[in-house]
Amino acid sequence: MPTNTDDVTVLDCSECGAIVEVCSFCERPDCPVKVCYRCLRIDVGQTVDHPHDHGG
Amino acid sequence: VDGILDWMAAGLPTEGSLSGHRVAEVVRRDVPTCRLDEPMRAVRERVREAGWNVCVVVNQEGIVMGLLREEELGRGDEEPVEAVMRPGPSTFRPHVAIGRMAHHMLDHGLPNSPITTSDGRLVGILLRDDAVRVAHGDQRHPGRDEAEA
Repeated sequence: MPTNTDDVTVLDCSECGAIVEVCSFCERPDCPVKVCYRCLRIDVGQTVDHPHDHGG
Repeated sequence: VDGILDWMAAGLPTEGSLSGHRVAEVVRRDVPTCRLDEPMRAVRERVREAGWNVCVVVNQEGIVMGLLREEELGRGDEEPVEAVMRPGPSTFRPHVAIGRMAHHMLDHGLPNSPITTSDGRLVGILLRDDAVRVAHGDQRHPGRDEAEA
């Protein structure tokens, strides 16, 4: 465990706080609005609700 | 659900909660492509002659392998594309709402984003300017309207 916190860079999702290596949208490690894969998929609606109860 | 997503990906009309402008309506399907083993110089010349500043790297099946944006296009001569490209870029589906993509592209300063089917096949490229224009109410569809002009 590091003792010098100055050496530790905390990379976290700007929406949920999850630790991420690079931004899932722009792939930059220094992105100021870094977002994790899960939050991004939800935000852009990459998955949609089933349009019918039977899932058709 | 795959059925409705395929329907939306083809740019066909939707109703209710699935309506609204989608990436499929403005995606540029004529974006230049190249293969992993092509030399950078040849790719750069081809892309620039076509008036583009981005090129999508695909395999023989049309699966997206990487991306050459302006920064990468300026690198290398005889080196293969594979050595220079951004590997495994983030891709998005054609059914995604254009407003959400415009918002993220502005926030992240991203000029373009590759659009693929759910199995990774290239559909085209979404340009930030197109996304912002349509999201802000201009109803023109850049790729299609220019192709028909």
